[in-house]
Amino acid sequence: MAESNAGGVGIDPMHQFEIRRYVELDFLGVDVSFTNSSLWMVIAVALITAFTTLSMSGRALVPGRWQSAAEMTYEFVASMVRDNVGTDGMRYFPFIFTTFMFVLFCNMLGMIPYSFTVTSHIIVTFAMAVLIFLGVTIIGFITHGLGFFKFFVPPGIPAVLLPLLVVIEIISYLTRPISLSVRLFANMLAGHTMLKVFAGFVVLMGIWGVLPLVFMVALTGLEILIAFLQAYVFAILTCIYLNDALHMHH
Amino acid sequence: MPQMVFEDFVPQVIWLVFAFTFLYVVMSRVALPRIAGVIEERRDKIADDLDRAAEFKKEAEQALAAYKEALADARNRALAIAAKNREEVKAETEKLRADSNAKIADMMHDAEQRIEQTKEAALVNVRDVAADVASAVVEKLLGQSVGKETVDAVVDAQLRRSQS
Amino acid sequence: MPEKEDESPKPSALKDLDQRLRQARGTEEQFDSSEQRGNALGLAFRLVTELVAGVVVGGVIGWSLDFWFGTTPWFLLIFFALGSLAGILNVVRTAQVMNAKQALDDDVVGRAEKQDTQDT
Repeated sequence: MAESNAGGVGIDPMHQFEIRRYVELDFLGVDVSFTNSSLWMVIAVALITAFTTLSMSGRALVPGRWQSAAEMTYEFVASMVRDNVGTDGMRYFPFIFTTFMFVLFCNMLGMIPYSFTVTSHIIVTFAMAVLIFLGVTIIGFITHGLGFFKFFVPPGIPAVLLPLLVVIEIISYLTRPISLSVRLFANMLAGHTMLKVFAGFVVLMGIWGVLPLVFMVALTGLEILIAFLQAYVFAILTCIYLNDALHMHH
Repeated sequence: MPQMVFEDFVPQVIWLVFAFTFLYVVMSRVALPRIAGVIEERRDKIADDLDRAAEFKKEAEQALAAYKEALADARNRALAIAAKNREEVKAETEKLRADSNAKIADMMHDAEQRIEQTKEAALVNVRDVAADVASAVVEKLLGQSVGKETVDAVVDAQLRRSQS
Repeated sequence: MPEKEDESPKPSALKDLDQRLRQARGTEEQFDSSEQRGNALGLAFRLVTELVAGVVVGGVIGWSLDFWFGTTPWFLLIFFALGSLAGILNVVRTAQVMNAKQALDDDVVGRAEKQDTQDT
């Protein structure tokens, strides 16, 4: 750690992704240490809670700036759920709202220099994707019973090919948590690595560092956009999967 | 690659579950119902206000229609009165004109008759004077008087010739 | 004539009010979710992910089956092939969805523009 500090931020672009244990904790033999990842998760949760509750404390009919921001976020996610799942999907709106806000805030907080991007770890995004995947699959089976298996039977296929295609469809279905989590993780990883590399260039090139600095500013803007977009994509894919489970059409 | 350090997986997942569950409970129990309540309240209020505004608009439209109708009515009546007046005036004028025309024609007729009479009288006088003058001239020239019938006949003949 | 002077402003004011009322009503449900249009690199990355994910899932299933039944390379080979097919299926589906969304977006945008020009 000492050498990377001495070498500056630019030398090792992967250094920012390291997990550091602030408080070593052990609960019944399970490692529950409070890490930098935990810290930024807690910060994200605290900020989201503050944003959605404190801003609404006035309950004003004519909203102030913060209240209207909170309401706009609400409407944004609500219309996303309505458009992609339908009104019967509104039951799962709190879950999708939580998912969207958590991913969005984790992505955005990662844009702060020297912070840690929770969503740049595959295990975090994969855990969320698996949770969504399992939840959606269970909802599918609860809603349609064993009829949900029909989801894997493509229409208009000769009986000979059917078993093969059902297996392929099931494999395809099982790839959902992977593509969902990899997309978010890879975007965060790539963006932040790039930013760090260019930051390193700025330091290394001295006076000529202005050039990569300009590029870095543009890249930061792009990364903020991507941070939002990936949270949006994550939430909208959740909506689409939920819609599949509830209404069973591809 | 720090993402592939397997010892770090467990604390991350556990804290993720912890943070996410906490956030979900807070969102679904406290934050979202509150936002939904405020939005709902406002939506009702706005819908109410819009309905009222629409009602007022309808009333205004009705008032405008009534006003327009009254206006059109008044204009029509005014037009009718004006037309009637014009008719009356025209008829009266016509009558007056016809009257005066008739009077003028009468007067002209009278005048013509009087002129005719006067002319005839004058002609008779002219004949008498001519006859007198003729007999006086004849008497002076011939030294004897000529019969009155002869002089009259000649004068008449002369007169007729000059007249034609 | 005085009627012309006070007749003309009234309907225009009413029309204005009508328009504002309709606008106020319209904005309530006009929350458009504008779809993202990723750049080419993002698109390619997405498709590659879909493909690789299929292969990986197939491989994992095959490997596990071999591990349980002690049939080493067979299930892995079969499911590797099936996984690749599933990956291709994913890619085709993702591309179709993207195309459909693009078309839908264009359609919606086009219609909105047309309506806009008709209104004014």
